Amino acid sequence: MNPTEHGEVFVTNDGLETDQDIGNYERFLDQDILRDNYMTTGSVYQMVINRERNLGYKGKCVEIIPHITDEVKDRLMKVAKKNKADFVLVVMVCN
Amino acid sequence: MQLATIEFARNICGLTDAHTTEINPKTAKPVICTMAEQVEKIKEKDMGGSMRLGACDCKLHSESLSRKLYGTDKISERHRHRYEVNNNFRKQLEAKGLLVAGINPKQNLVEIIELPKHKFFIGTQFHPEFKSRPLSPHPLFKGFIQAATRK
Repeated sequence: MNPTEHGEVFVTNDGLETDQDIGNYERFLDQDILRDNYMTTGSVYQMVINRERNLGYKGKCVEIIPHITDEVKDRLMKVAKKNKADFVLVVMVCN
Repeated sequence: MQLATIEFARNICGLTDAHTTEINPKTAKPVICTMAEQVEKIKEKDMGGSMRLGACDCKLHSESLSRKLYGTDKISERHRHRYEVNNNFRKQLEAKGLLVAGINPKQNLVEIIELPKHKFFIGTQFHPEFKSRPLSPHPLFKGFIQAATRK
């Protein structure tokens, strides 16, 4: 999170360092945004790799498809359930 | 808040070599130092997402300007830091008029400082801007603008 590239390093209530886009959404929606609502390629890969290291895939071969893509889908579903949402809006930010 | 504390220590308390260990690790008067919970992390170079992060409770001093502006005794604010006011210097700073207006009740950390002799002098360890919103500006920013417009 280099501030010269990302602007403000925004911090959520539950202590995640995020891009300033989350700060813009939170402030203008007037709604607290938590870590489940923020996803980066790195965070997805880190979780999948750590899970593999902890035998979470029971020694199976871990690949981008389906394991990374499933992790992305699971996270979206989790957010939807938690917020009892009718739909989930996914905003992709490329810096 | 950290640099304001150093300035106060140097020019009001007479600790001319006061500093933060972030800038001068060997300072004789480390009025700002690494938080206890961070020492090991820095040693191990565990520097990613490992600061004191997110919402923490803060108890406000009943006579402080902060208490007046917030209108409540207990607040929650968001943090992002590894360094803090060194509690070993707290008495010395307070004796010369620095008001510790907010502390973290669990860890006894200085979260807000004030200079009551000024119209508005508040320094915070947390980031009030994280909770300021277009239609509900943060009480400290509102208080600052109000103080600036007062004749």
